[in-house]
Amino acid sequence: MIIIEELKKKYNRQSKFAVDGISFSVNNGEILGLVGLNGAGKTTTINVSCGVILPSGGRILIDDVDIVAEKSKASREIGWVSEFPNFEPNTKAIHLMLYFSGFYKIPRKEAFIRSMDLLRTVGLEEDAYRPASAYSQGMKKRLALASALISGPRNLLLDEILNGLDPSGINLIRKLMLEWKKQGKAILLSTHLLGILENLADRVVIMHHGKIIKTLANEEMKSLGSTGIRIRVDHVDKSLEVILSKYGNVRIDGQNVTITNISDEQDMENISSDISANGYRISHLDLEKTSLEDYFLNLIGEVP
Amino acid sequence: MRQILHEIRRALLAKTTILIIIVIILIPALVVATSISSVNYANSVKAEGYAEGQNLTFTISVYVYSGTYGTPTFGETVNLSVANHNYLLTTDVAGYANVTLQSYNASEIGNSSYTYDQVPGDSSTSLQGRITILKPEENPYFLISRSFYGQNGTLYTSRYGINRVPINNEPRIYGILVTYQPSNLSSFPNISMYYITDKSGIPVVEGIRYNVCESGITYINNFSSQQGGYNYNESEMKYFGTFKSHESMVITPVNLTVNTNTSDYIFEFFSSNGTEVGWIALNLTRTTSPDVVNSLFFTSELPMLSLFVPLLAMLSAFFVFGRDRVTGVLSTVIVRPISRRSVILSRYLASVGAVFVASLASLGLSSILFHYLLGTYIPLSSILLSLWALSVMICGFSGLIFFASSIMNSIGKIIATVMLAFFFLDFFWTFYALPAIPIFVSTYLLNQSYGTLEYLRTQAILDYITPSGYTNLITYLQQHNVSTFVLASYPVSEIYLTLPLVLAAGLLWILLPLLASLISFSRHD
Ligand SMILES: Nc1ncnc2c1ncn2[C@@H]1O[C@H](COP(=O)(O)OP(=O)(O)OP(=O)(O)O)[C@@H](O)[C@H]1O
Ligand SMILES: [Mg+2]
Repeated sequence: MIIIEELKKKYNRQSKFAVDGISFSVNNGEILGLVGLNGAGKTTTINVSCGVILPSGGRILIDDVDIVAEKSKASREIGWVSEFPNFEPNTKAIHLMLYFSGFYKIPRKEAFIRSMDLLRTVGLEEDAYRPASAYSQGMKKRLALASALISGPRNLLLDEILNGLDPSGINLIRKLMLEWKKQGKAILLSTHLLGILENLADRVVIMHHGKIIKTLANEEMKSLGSTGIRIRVDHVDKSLEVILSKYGNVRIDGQNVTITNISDEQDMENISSDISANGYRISHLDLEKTSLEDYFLNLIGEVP
Repeated sequence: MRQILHEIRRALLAKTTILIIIVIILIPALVVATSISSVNYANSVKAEGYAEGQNLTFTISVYVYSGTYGTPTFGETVNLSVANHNYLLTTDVAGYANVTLQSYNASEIGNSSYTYDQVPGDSSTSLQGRITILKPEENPYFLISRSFYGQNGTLYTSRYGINRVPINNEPRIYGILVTYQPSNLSSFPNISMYYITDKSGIPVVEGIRYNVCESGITYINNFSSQQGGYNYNESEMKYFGTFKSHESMVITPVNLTVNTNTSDYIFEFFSSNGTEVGWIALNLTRTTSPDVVNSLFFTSELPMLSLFVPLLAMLSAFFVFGRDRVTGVLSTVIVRPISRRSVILSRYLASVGAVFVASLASLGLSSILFHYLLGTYIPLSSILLSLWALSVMICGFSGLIFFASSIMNSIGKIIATVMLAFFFLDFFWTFYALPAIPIFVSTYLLNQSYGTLEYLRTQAILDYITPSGYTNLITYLQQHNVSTFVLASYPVSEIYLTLPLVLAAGLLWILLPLLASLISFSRHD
């Protein structure tokens, strides 16, 4: 579990706080998305949370251990994937993995087996004996993930982990995250794109200028950003509502009916035929695609 | 602790570190190898003068050759004085200064002498000798001389002089210098050398036990088995070689010293018909005195180390810590279960440890080289003091770069700091380029007159200021005679030059930069 309380961070020789008094927590078995524009403070929040940089105020508890006061203890349960992973020059990936395992007192033999396993998991098995500094951006991300998992930590802080990954990589990571969630790990995931989190995150924290401007639960997100349909029918009654509610959320406003959160695109056609078949006449039909990103931009636009 | 060892091992095996270690180890090897030659060229010169002729016509020859290697000199001026007349003669390519005089009698020639200044005009370096009159003699191995002693025709003297000489590029052993007086002969005869291991215990005087042939005078010991009161069996002597005589030649018995720990030998020389013409007993082992090795070490190797070790220590600090911090590589370590203090401390120990181990290896290697080449190790006290000075430099300079790296956020700035520290705290100090040292210090120093108490104190302070100065400080302590530092007239404490003070001030340089970086890195990111 990651608890962030009134976290503040001002970088050296900067006048503004990069993170300005934010509080939230990531529970065990929860995936929390951290969303914001460039410079919102996501990376800062993650880096402070995993002890890579020092906070200017507030505190962070990792499984109830303060990351500043008891750093070595708290770090034991942290797995971190940096936004721009960078590895020691001229060092082979497998050696880096072994080096990192040394910090957890993992016996060398076991460390080797675990490292090879992880490299296989992230798809780097064949590149294990290449210098990591010569990896491509996506490969570096994969290696960073493998190295974050070496100790099987209970808390994962992943900075833009999907950035630079190919579709198979994105799928892999989604799958892994859902697995970790089942195992009860706490996962903090930052991204620019709200859409990515839609079928993944349990909650989303939206940051702007170092502050949290909105926290959304998964259900709220779903209603916000799904495909919808707006129709006008000659008459509206209860039975129409019953018919339509099996497709999604129905909202009725006079003669206007909005169905949002339609899970299956196929249903779009079924809806109109179903309405007609039940004796209603459609005078107007209009697809409504309010994307999460639209919502997100609107939200930020409202902030002064 | 395990993590610290882990980091140290890793840093030691990093390519850049290995490169740095190699450089530090190679420097003294080169310096030692080149400084050996200065031991070889002990520029001693020898001369022999003789005359031959009759009535009032005498040809006088003074042969001048290197006593070190037996090579003839050329163009040297010899002052010959005969009956209160002086003649200036110059040696030719064969090493001879010749003149034919026609107005002196045998007694005047027999009482004449020559002088040769090794340093022209400096009479303290003069070689002097009497001119010996040689009587023409058919026998190429023996001649009749010193007729003026009244032993005309009754005393045979070998034409050979035998002596011990250092050999060029073989500082560990002596060679045998054989000089020959050709006199009136037109060709040179052969001589054969035999040897036997000497287990006698004849008292050793600087390696030579006994040398009856030195000035070319010996009684003939025809196949005698007794030399210098020591009995041995000449029939057991082994043949070494036959040589064509020359005015001077060096026989190098290198192969005799290989694979044996005996270095005491008796050598005998025989004419072609088996007559002994001379002998020498000598210890072939040549050792250089610890003082010479010490001063070679302090004047050639230590300055080189004090110039390069700080640079390499700073580069190592940059590669091990500064670069990784700026590029974010260090974050992949910081995020592990290790405190920030341990991160910087382990990197510091790794960097400093690597350079220190290299310096230790370097001193050890050069000591072994000195022993191998000159037969003498560097004295232990010098090694220990040097290790202290090197530690001060390594820790001081590494600490500076660790501190700079912990507050700077660009590789360029850190590299600039390395360069500035190198030039202003190391390079200029090592070469005493005073104008480059902060103005107020140098003007203050230049205002003192050389050798005064104030001057010496300021100079000591200058050396305390920078870690590089500690090699100078220990050099003064150990050598007491460094030319830039006249210690004679003042007690060491008066000029702030006591061992406890040097140790204490060095400790500050070891600890302060490290503390500053520890504090800075654990409090700020
Ligand atoms: N090392 C640094 N020194 C000074 N200021 C910094 C540093 N890192 C980040 N900042 C500033 O802190 C603020 C937050 O940056 P941060 O990297 O946390 O944003 P982010 O949300 O991760 O952005 P992005 O989506 O571009 O990754 C920005 O204004 C940035 O300029
Ligand atoms: Mg970021």
